[in-house]
Amino acid sequence: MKVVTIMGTMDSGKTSLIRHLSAHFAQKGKRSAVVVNEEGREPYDQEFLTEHGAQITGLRGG
Amino acid sequence: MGCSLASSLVAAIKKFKRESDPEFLFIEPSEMVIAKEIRDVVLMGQRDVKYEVGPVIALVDGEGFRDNWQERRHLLIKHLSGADAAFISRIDLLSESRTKSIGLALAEMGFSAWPLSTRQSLSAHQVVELIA
Repeated sequence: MKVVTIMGTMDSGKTSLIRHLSAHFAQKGKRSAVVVNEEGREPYDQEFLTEHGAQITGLRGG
Repeated sequence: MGCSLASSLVAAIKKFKRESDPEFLFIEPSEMVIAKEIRDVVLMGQRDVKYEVGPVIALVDGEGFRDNWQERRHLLIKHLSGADAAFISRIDLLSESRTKSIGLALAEMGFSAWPLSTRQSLSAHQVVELIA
């Protein structure tokens, strides 16, 4: 497991980039997971998670 | 980053490693953080479980750059210092000249940042190469 940090201001495109990367690696047969703050979970809809075999966990205040 | 948040993050990393061990675990802090701080936190979990610490990637929001540069320059510089790579994000929303001026402002402070747009797949391959 490789831990990669994608940081930036709110609305800087972090979620879009992680979604892009998760989809890319899923195509290569590699699984991804995301640690995000609770409020940031919303863009990771269940359909996306299921489609790309990704997992997510939320941290309060993170 | 506070102690309880750092502990929660380390616990989450260890849980993923122990329970599902995905090839990649992405950490998405909600706001700008200092690269060294987050790297140190990510390293803490290695005391108990083995995993690889990958790059810390900083996104500079192209659209919000002007305000951040004027109001939070000190934090933005700290944010970029120590990051393994920086990208000017969402450039599909910016004019070419504005993207260039952001790049120049960052270059004057000693930072290089590639323009990035996942919507246009611009530079996304560079991020993939950095990570894989």
